[in-house]
Amino acid sequence: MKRNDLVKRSLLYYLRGHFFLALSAATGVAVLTGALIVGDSMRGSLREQALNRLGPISIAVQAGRYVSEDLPQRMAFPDAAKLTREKTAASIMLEGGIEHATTRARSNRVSIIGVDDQWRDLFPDAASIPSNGNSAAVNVSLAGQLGIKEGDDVLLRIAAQSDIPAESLLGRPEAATRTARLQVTKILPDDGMGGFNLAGKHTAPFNVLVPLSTLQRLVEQDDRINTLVLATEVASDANANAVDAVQDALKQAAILRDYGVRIRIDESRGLLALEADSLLLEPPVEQAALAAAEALQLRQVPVITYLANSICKAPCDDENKKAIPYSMVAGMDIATRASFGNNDAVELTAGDIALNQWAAGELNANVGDEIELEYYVSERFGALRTESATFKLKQIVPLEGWAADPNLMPAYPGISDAKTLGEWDPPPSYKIDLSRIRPQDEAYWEEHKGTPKAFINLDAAQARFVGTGRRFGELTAIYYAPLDGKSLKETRDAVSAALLKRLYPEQLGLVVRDVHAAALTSATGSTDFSGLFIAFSFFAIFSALLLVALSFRLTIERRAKQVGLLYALGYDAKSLRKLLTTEGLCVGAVGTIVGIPLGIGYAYLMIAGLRTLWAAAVQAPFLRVFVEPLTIAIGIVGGLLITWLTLRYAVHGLAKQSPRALLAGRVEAVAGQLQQRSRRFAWVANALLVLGVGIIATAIASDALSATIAFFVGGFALLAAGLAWTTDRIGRGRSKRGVFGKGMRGFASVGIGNIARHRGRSLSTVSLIAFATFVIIAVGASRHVASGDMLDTGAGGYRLLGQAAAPMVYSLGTKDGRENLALAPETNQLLADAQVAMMRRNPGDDASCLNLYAVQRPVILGVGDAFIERGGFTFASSMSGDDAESANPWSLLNRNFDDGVIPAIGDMNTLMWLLKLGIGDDLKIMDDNGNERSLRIVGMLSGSVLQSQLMIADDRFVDLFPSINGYDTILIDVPKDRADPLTAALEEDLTDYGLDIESTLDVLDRYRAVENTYMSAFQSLGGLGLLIGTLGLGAVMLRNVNERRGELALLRALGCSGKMLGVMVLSENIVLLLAGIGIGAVSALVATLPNALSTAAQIDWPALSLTLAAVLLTGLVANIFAVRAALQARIIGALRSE
Amino acid sequence: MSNFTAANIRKQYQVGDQTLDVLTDISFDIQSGESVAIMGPSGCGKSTLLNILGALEKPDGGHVKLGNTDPFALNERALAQFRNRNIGFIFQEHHLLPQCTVLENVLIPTLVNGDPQAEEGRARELLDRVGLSQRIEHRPAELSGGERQRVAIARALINEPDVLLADEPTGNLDEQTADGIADLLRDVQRDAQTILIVVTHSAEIASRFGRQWRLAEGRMQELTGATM
Repeated sequence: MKRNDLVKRSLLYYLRGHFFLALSAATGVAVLTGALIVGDSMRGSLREQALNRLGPISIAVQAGRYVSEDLPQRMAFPDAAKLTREKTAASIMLEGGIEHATTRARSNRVSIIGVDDQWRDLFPDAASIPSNGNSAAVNVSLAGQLGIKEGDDVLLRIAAQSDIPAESLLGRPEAATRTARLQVTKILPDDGMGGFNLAGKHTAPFNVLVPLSTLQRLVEQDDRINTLVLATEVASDANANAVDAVQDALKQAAILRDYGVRIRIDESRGLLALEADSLLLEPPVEQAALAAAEALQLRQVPVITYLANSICKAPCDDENKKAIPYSMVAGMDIATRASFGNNDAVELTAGDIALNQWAAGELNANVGDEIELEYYVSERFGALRTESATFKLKQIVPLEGWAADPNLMPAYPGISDAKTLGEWDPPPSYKIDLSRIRPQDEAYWEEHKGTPKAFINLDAAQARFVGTGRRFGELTAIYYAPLDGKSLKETRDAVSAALLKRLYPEQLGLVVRDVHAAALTSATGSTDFSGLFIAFSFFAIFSALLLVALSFRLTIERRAKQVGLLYALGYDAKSLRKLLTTEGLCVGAVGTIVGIPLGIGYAYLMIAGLRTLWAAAVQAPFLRVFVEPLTIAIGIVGGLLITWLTLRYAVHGLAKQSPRALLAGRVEAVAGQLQQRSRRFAWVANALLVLGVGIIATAIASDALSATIAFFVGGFALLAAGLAWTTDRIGRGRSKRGVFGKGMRGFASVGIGNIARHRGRSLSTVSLIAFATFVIIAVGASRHVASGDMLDTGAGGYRLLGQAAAPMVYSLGTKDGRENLALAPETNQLLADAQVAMMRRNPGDDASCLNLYAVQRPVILGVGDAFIERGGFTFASSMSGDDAESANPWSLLNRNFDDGVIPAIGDMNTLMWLLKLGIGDDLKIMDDNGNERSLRIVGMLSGSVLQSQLMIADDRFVDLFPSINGYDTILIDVPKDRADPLTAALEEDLTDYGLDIESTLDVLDRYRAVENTYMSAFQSLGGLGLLIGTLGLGAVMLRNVNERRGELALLRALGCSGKMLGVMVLSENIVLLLAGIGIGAVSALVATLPNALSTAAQIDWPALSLTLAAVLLTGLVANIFAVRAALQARIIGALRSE
Repeated sequence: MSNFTAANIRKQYQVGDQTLDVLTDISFDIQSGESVAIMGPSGCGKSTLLNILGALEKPDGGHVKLGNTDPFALNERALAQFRNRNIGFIFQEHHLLPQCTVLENVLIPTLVNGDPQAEEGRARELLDRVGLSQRIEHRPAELSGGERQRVAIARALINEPDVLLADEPTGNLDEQTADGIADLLRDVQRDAQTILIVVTHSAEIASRFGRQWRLAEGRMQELTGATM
């Protein structure tokens, strides 16, 4: 015989007792493993879905501009990268809106993808997508959403991307959208091409697949594309290499045309001109060009040509009929330019102007006269302001040679190609007074087109004309003289090569992305569901462990005499503990093994719950169970570890028992010891009470302490105080109480006295019930019912939230803006004195709780000064600042940090849970030019409608994302009664922009629904914990009653009725139950006070009371059941067995 | 072999606010090979004394020595060893492990640090000696009260202790069986020449042992008349 044999014998002999222990351990392990598997499943499902969305694609080049569609053909890949042209496809991918042509059902955020034969090679099911004509395919999700059937017509709305930025001076904001009527010829399933998506979003994408040629025609970008996708082998290293290879290939293959610039050879004037498709040379191009010229030692003349509304002898006024209307003015160094042709011209300083002969003649101006220019400068929201400047006439230049160059005026569709001045077609905000145009002006236009009539100093021109549009560029062209001894063509090739050397694709928005790696990263999920479900199941795990401890303890107590004997026979405390723990651990191991399959089953239930009952929380019908071997291993090891720790805890006090007591079968502290300890507990209870109340009061009184921290710390302190108080009360026992009362009360008091008999057991019971009640009540109290009061706190008083498919340049908030947007008079009326905040948006990942994927690039909004000044919304916390900043934390957005980091504000939920950021933390983002920039969190909103974005100041936004033109996110503060008609009117008037307006309260409700669904899940799992707790209570009761069978039988023999004994036993347990519920409920309610008082949340009291009643009822039923079972024992048998 | 001495042993218990003097001043000296029966009324402290002698409970004053060893001066581990090696307990309730066979029950003390396999022969001899050679593979539940106590006696002897302590070993047995057990105890003690201390209510049983003492009001009296 060995020690192990003793363990083995005991295991077999006490099989029945161990069954309960194994069951408890199995429950704990099952809940733990199940929670871990839920996390695996979430990650596995997201991963599966993310990769499905990509199909074979692993690398994408998403250009912020259109590039020539032969760019992919020009790219050469090294063999090592295992890339081939067969595995690439080019496309135009856009976000846009779609409307069912007959039902008018619409969706404003659909992905429009241009598909050609290359795609058909990559995605087999793309073969069914029409290859040309006005037809399209949509995926099942979109078809379902809008009720589209094959053969139906749809209207597709696409934000047209002009080469000229919509917000630059001559940009065309009004031409924001193109609409096309297409016939849906195919509805594709949501996988394969139908589900293709490069963005990390877990809800099904709405895809519209259009023949590439049709789409190119639609957006007026023939032979051009904005996206290139590549399929590679996706072993992670291989893909990273491939990304580098693509980046290199792109750099090598890119020609000036791809960057939207060209070098024009002007043979007649003997020069080269670097010009842009977008009117202005973009800043990276300008920098590269200047550097290239310097390297080649080229003579160069940077030019900015601008439109002056009037040129006149100062002062320009309405009476001055001599003013020359609508003329080009070039800002450039005319002396250098003249020197190209060995001509002379004077140098112009900032205050000088040169007029050509024609203009000087018209104005009858002489050198030395004051000449005034009137021109527009662009302001925000496409508004134009008239400005004027006065110059001194320095020179009158003949209208010949360099000064007679019509190409100084950049090509501008609608103006440069107009036959007459009267045919000019500028943007609507650019008001032209045709009556001012005189015959001689038309004659000049006919002969000289846009040849500038005046020249000023370059710096002066840039300072005056560029204004807020600096981000679009400051030059319309750069002129170069040929290199010495080289032809124009040779010079052009040299400039072109030097320029390309200095240009990088990413600077101009040609960014190569490892979408495969990004998908894998985002599939790690926004929320750690393992952690979340462990937290949700915490109480169930805790209850199970308490049951492990309790049942093991009960087993040991039953065997106290054995323990005492072994002690007497020479076992020391350590060996005894080891012996018992080994035995318990064997049972625990069996429980663990049983617990694993149960855990998998539990995970299936949770996933089923997430797909059905709690679907609102995650909206992920694609979820399925993934079981990772590592998780099972963690479940087993974790299960054994916590069982072992629990068992150690259970046998811990055993050594302190006197052998004599053990031999007599008693396992409890002797009265004196306990009373002494009890005094200590009373002290601890009071201290904890003061601490808990103090923390919660602080949180109510000031914002310094967050309600969440107060809830956890304060709540736990109160709960612990309650339990310490109970320990104290139980410790005191009933020694001082004297004789018990009369009748049933007497029996009740005997019963209550029994509580002190097994103090540990009683305390465990109270703890179990108190914890369960705490969780259930706390969750119930945090559940919010819908409340209109959220308008101010969550939506800053803005009643409507609009989202446009195509950004608007004009403001809905100003009269001019509304006019330019051509709103109907009724709409204008509805908008009168409404406050509108227009915001720019850099697209990215939805950072709200509605997105399950890890957020890699959050959506960023640029908010204007008016919005910042208005303030509003409730802040959970903000960076401390001066009084003004404290009064309106939005003003923190204008703060300047020494390190150049940009201040940002976000919603607390988004920041804390999805981005894992706190106040003062920085988030790295990529700007339009491919540079890494940092945002610093300066404020956190509490429960706001702006959950899915980060907000920065508009001017910083423009600096970061110059390519974003216009505003597509709109908040409107309008009286309640006007909200609905305004929504309808605006959506109708701004159909072209695909404007979709929603009530902010509806949006908040949607977020709250997610929150509440999580709470439901939490509550359900808390309920599971309570069920386990109640089982434990039942087990303790049965054990107690069983132990006292003799005693009870004796009382019956003495003439007590079953009812009396029932009262006696029940009263003991009811007191324990009530104590548990009371402690749990009171501490939970007090702990949730700061939250309840600070937010406009309304606690659902009826539901809460119902929950409490259910907790009480469950406990009572368990009690009554146990008592009935116990009292059915026969008297004689019980007495004899004593 | 060593002698077993106790000097000025005192033990008090706290019951509520009151202090109860259970043992006031107990001293004795027992030579090896001697057997002693201690008698006294219920609650007089017989079992307390036995627990102190068996090193299960520490006295409030005085000391106990077996040979030159004062068990209460030992650390916990050594104290456990001391009990295992030097003391054999026989309780009123036999305290057999229901999950183990008769043989295994006898071998339980050897699990502490001995080699149960090596001791198995001796265990069988002891069981033979107490008349249970036919019951070796039985479980305690299958034995009568007297048989169970015989197993307990065999178990007490397995480690050849210097001292056998028997607390009311016949208290739960009928007269005939009790006689048998008392005789067995005396016989094994003689054979092994150990010290045997038996606590009993019965003068008849007590008379079978070498010396008879009475414990009353915290003091011990040798029944020949002298106060110890």
